[in-house]
Amino acid sequence: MGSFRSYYAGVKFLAVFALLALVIGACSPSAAPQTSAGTPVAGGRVIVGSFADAKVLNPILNNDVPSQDVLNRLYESLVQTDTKTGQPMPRLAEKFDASPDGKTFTFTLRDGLVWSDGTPFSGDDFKFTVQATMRSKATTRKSNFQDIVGATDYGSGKATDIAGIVINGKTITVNFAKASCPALVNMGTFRILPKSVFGKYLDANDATKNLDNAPENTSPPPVAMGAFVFKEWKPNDHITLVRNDKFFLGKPLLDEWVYKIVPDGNALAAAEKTGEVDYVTVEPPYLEDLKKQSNLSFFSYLSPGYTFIGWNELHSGNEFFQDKNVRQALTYGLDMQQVIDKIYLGEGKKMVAHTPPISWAYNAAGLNTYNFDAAKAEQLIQASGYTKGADGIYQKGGQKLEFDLWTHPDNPTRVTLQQVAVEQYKKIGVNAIPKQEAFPALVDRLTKSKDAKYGDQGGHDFGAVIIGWSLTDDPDAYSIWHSSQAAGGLDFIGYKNPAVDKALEDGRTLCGTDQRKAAYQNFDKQLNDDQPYNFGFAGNTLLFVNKRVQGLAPGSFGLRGFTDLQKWWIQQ
Amino acid sequence: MGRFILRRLLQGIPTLFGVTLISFALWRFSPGDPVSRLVFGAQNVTAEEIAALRHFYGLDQSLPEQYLSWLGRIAHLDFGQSFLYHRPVTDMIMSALPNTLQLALVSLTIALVIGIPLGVIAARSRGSFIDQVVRVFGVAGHAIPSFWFGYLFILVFAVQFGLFPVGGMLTIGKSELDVADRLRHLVGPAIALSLAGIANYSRLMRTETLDILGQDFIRAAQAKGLRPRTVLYVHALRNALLPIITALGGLLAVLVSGSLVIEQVFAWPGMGRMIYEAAVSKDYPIVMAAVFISGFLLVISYIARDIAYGVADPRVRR
Repeated sequence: MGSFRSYYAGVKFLAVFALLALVIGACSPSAAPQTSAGTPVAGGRVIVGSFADAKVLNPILNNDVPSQDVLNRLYESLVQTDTKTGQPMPRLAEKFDASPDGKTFTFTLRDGLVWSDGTPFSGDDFKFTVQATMRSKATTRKSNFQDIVGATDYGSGKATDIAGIVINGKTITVNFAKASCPALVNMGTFRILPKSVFGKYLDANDATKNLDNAPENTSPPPVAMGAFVFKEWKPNDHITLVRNDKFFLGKPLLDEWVYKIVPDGNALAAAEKTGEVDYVTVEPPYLEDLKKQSNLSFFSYLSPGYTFIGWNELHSGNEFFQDKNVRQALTYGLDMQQVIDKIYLGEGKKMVAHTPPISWAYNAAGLNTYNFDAAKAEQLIQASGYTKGADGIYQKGGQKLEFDLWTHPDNPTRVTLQQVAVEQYKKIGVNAIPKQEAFPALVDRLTKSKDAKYGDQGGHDFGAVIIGWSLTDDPDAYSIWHSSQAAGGLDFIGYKNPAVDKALEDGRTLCGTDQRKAAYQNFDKQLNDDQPYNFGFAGNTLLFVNKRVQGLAPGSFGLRGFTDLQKWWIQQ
Repeated sequence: MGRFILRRLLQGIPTLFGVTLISFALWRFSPGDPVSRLVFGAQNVTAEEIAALRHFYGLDQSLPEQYLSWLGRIAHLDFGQSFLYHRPVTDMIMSALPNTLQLALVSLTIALVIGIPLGVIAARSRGSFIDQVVRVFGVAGHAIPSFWFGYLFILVFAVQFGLFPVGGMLTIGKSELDVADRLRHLVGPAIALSLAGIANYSRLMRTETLDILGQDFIRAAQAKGLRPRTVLYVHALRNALLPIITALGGLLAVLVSGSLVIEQVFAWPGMGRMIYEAAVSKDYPIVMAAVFISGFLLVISYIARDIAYGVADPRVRR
């Protein structure tokens, strides 16, 4: 899944805070090196701080990061991606296999799997979860399963079972109607619900029945497969989970895992300092201050996703975005490393194509790094026949290199990038006019508005936009870059390239690791050359954890910060 | 008096109706759609799913239909279900409202108990040092934004000296009935929230008391030989309190909507944050419920205020 990280208010008042931090920071002790961990002991509680509450603790209805943070502690999946590479690894399934044609997936469950209440876990729980997803009227998760043979028929009520899922003892076989390589990760990492609890909401013969309004969505049952079991939820305050003694990877050392909501960024950072919360991921403005705290460990790792500037090729008056030279110039002409250093204090990576540099599918070889070069940017613009006008802005045939550059004001990182871009583009004779709009309105502009001239081809009413993607662990990027997604999909900049389409289709149908890797390298090379976005940068996840918490193994993919949660322990 | 109250109540109904209609229209005609916001950025969402979601939330009906069905539900006191949280809005309000009321009532009490006497004392000794202090505070209390005070409180008393928690209502793991722990959590937000009130009421009381002390009936009372204390506390104060009643009139609605800034800074799980998040996410059922409830309370509190006026000043009743 991918969703937008939006940080709330709080950072607005940074200037005041910075001043105070300066005064009081003078008294703070400087960072000390981390001491040795000692021997793990059982007991204690970890408090995870979050700026927003979970919404719904059901994987079928989930659309946001906080909900995922919590429900991924409760429910488990067949496979899990490796934290370092994003490749699938065993989880509830000890073995898994994809057929070379990408249509048949086989999972073999571990022995002796049980839910926290002692009910045996079986393939039926998996099948039930797929059925419940297909019958839901409020889910956005059907794409994980809809190509399974018979899945849509089950969803619409034409069938009373999903023929494509066959359970045989410990073996689950899933047959797809068409090749779907990303399914191994997308379907395999989907969280599985207990049929013993939710089963009553479905009726094989009645497609109108579903679990969209089940009370267990917001008050989960004490039946979990994950390391922790639900205990209580005080809305907008905290959620408490308790140890699952029957966890299949061993009884967790922690007694409790608490998710505490502290909506204000400054207060969240303060709570981390005082130990009111143990674990926070923070936005860049708090990095410098928290790094000075001797009681905190700092982890920094790249996450799949990036902040970019998209050039709308279907916007009347901005046809110059259809010119590759201009797009490349707009990458050369912006010192992205300086932006990373300024915003993220260097904790990030410049992006020059789509695939996350940490992914197994990424290969830097053959990609232009687009090192900052203002002179080269101007040469490229001139090569396309543009000449500088009296106002210092390039123009050709009466059309100036001038466009609206949109972003949303509640995201300080994007706003800073906007300011820097406007300044630096002016220096290469390009006039970017900064515009801001609240996030929901901006989303409407990107996906629903119609350009006066190109609206019928899927053109939207904006020139350029600064926004970001959070990406799935699988490298599949069809829904963002395939030309079929230009009308109404996430390819809202109207980019179309048959070679990219081919590579994305190959990535979905040629399932061998090497074949997929080749496909995504091809895809990245095309994007790297075309520069339909200025691919901007990937900011690191900035994680601070109180040193009393030990045993962490955070990483970019999979369970990310919560990897190996059963091994976490509290230093006495 | 009975007819007066009845007439006021009847007048309230169209007002409330108008408030809901206007806010419904404003929300729906402003850009931004809850479903597209929800699915934007989620990869591989299908067009069928988006259509199903719109139907699930009732957004596929025409706007008049949506408004009428909302009105129909309100008649049964059913505020619908939150788009974002998949919970009945009534449940969410019942969970947030007590927290907001707790904070609001404590800070209002602080504001009145400190603000009113401060104003009277300042007026009694006009021009003195105390008067100067109260006047400076009256300006400063308004000028200092409550979030700034909140941050200052957190940095000094929570981070630096560790006397109070940074935020929340209760330490994780402590019993709900631990009054001492609850009070510790209440200090910061209650003070921050009462600052403006103290400033406001003291300033108001000072001006009014001074004004009234200069009037003929006070001079008459003094001439009658009444003790200065009786003049001040019995005759002047009762009259000077009238504008405070006016100021309190709209307060009920404000109390119930909570303070976004204070709730945000001190991680207080109240109405302000809930409404703000709903507004940002276009979670219409919550926004409309909030508008309806605060509209209702505003109307009620204005009626109550008119009645209170009627008690304090019989001329109003006509």
